[in-house]
Amino acid sequence: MSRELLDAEAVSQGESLGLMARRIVEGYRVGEHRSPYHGFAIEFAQHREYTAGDDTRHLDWKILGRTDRYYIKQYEQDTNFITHLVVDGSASMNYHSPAADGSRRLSKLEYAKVLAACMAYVILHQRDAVALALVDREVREYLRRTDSLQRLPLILDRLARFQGSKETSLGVALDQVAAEARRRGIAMIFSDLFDDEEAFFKGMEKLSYSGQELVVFHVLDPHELTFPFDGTWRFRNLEGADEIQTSPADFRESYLKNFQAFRDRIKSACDRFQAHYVLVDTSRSVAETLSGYLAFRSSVRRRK
Amino acid sequence: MSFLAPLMLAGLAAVSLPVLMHLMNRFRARTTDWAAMRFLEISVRRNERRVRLEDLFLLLLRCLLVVLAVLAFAQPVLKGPPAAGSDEKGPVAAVILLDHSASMAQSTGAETRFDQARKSIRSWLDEHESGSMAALFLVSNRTESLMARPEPQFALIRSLLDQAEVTDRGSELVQGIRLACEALQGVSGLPREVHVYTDGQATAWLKSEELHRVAEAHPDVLIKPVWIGGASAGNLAVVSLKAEGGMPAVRQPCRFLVEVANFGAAPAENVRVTLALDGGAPAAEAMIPQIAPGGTQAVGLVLTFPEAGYHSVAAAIPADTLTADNTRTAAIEVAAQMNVLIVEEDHAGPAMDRDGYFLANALVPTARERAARYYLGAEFVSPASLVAELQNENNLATQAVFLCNLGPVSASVTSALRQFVKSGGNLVVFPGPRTFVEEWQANAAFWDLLPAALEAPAADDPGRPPVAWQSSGLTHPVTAFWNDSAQGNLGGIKFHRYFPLKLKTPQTEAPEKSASPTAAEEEKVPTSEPRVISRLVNNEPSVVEWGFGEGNVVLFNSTATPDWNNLPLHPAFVPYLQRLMGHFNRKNESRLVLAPGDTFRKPVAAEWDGREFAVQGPGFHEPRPAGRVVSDDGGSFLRYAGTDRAGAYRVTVAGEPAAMFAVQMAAPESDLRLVDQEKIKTALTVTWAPETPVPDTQLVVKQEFWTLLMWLVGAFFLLEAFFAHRLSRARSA
Repeated sequence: MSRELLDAEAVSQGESLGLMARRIVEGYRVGEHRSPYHGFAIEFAQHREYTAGDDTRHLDWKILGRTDRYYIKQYEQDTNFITHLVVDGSASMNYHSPAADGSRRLSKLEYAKVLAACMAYVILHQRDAVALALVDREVREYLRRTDSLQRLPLILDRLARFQGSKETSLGVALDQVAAEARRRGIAMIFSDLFDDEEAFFKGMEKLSYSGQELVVFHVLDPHELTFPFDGTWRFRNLEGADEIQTSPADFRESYLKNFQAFRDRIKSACDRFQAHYVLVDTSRSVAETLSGYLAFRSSVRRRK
Repeated sequence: MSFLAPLMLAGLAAVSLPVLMHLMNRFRARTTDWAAMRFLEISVRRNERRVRLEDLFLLLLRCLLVVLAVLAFAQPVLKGPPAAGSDEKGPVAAVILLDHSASMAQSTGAETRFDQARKSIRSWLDEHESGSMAALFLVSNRTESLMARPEPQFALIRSLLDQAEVTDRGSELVQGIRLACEALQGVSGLPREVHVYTDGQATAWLKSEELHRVAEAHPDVLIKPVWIGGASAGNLAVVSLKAEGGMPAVRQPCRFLVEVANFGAAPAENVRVTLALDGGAPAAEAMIPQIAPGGTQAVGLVLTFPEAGYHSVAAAIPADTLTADNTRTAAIEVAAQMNVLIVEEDHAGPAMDRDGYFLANALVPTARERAARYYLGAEFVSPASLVAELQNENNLATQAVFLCNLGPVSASVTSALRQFVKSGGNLVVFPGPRTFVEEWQANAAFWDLLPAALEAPAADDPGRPPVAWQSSGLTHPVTAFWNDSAQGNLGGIKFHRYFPLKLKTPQTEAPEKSASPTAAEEEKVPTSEPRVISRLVNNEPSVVEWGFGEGNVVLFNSTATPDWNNLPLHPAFVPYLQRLMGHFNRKNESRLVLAPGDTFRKPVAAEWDGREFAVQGPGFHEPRPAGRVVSDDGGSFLRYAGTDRAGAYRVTVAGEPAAMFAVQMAAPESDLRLVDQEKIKTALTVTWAPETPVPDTQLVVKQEFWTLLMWLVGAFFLLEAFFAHRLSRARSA
């Protein structure tokens, strides 16, 4: 997957977003030896004796060949696994730094959209259910669960058209998502988490108690991670009217320390709620991020 | 404080550069949206104060750096009067005075003081090669400027220094210091110094008051004596070598008086004195048992000259630290025979009655058959034939003319006599019964010749007691011999009739002054003070001499016959005349003794005019060409000025001996006692009157701050780099 395809224009259209997601996922599948379908939901469970009426497709032909007995292979299958994709559209998610080659880098929101689209694609293809929650101050849009691939374009379209607002209140939004998600499932949160941390932790808590397995995709711009500014800069707040003029180099150390502390707090909260924390650096390719996560996921599955 | 490059100060405007950059950084802000605002806000709020202070500090540091660099390029200097007292190694304009008097030749081993001084000067030159200027003077009793004005050509000074030689001259440094100060007048912009490299011999610094005046007249010149060597051990010196007694003559024993002085602090014992003739082996020697510290002992030695002509006589004592004064050389011209003309009016009648009879016998006190071989030949002439006799060119050896009992002297005789005396002849005048004072006085040219004015003698009165000569306390070299009573007593010489003498002063003018220019010219003939050879007991002068021109005139107050006195009959008459002749001779010979550095001048035969002459001086193995015989109105003569070394100089023209002279070191130069350095220091100390303004052009750079400032700039630059690096690292880490 080349980076050029991930242009902001494409992300804002459902069709191209879907195409993009497919390319990313298929490209990933080509590179992998093991299918994500196998690794994700369908697992061999046991053998049982054949009884009339069983589908002969499931006969274990090797055992029949060796022992002349009829055994049926039985598989364990997660049934109706629901994944909530929660995409934060707050104003801070609109930040993007210039790429090294001068081209426009995806904003955090766009990156989150692509990542969410890929997830939706993968999950629907393995016949699990996906629910989409687009949130800022509250849940802006909620697509109920679906396991039909036919619904995928709709999901992508909504995702593509989502524009955030100035404000954010992820805690409230998560509360609402928790209220919707009554069944056990996975909640994937795509956000930079620049919000009231306590409210966010509460929301996580709610989701966790409602039986959701949490995955936090912490979407951050590389500039936020390294703060590489030199000279004098005026910083305009994306979520407010204030601005600061300063020579950032003088404060780099202190900023990075604060930022690391922030990430550490998030991480420790994730540990508390057994959430999986994934740092998403928007300078890396989506495929890389995705494959990294999926590989991790499958290894977790296999261990179960 | 002033600046050598004040225009550079315009660079101070560059101080605005760091300030501008600081402000531009502040206002040239780029804008960006930012999401993670709260982390930034916390950091800024916490660190802003510290960061501002650090920035301000760096700004100040950079401004200071610029200011210091600008100041450094403007070259700030501290100027002050170029006064005495600076002993720094900075550039100076110096006149180096190198003492090359005889005492600088003293040596305790391999190196003389002169060599030590040269070494010291060379090391000074090495230290001050850059920026300094120097002149080089050699000083003794006169000053030779090898390099007259301070110039930065040190290589030339070094080579001049290599060629400089020590002389046998005496020393007198103050005059040299004055000249050196004057040579520094044209120099500006550098501290002016006079360095005197000397052995500190006290005799060189006798004029300490004058030295102080020189220092006061040049307060902007630092006069710095550099004392070479320390106190020296004692020094023995031959301070005098003189012929004694009668005239030196061929095959006649001639007595020389050698004086040896002890300038040391301990008595010198058993000093062996030798006398050598013509540079040969010692021909006579004597031992002086003891010479007290500071004392002088004389010893008489006798030599015989084997042949006529020029001879050198050298007296020597054993060598000590200063060898130059251990030998003293005299030059003597020994004639085979010298003529004496005895002039008398009338020589008819018995020989005994002649006016010059006693004189002739006293001058040639030998039997008639041996008289021809005697070194003096006396000849009687009449006043009429005297002129022809004196003008006879074959009769060059005429030493003296004795006038006996003359009446009026004719103008032609007077003029011949004047010419004779002026060119070196000796005239002895015995008045007598024929002499009338008025007649002599009327002849002004003749009267001028006489060292004393005669007055008419008292009338002949047998009853009056005769007046005797003084017999003790005799000071004249001719009569000092009789101070020793063993030699006889001059008190036995009595006069019952005489012309009272009244000493003239050299300025005494003739009663009738001639207005003609030639006569006026003749009146300028140099004369010396009249000197009394013998006195009567009533303290009236009896025998008076003076120098007239090159020659001498001696006037007796009475006759040369026993008519008026018993002088011719007295046993002292012969030695008296012999000693008088010797005295004349020595006065002539004294022209053959020069001080180092004097110019030797001698008239020679006209036929040598234009010929080259050669001189064989001390230390020369053969004669060296030294110039040509030249001539002026007075005739042909030769001149030679290269007389820096003591010893005998033999002058030849076309291989024929023409003259000989000796150069003798001045006796005070042998006194090696050191001057009181504190006293000199005091004499040289001059204080600037505080209110005296020093003209700007005389100000010299006392101290430069350029290098100091550059070091500071370097230090501040390092400090700035260190802080900037540390701060940026602290902020970006």
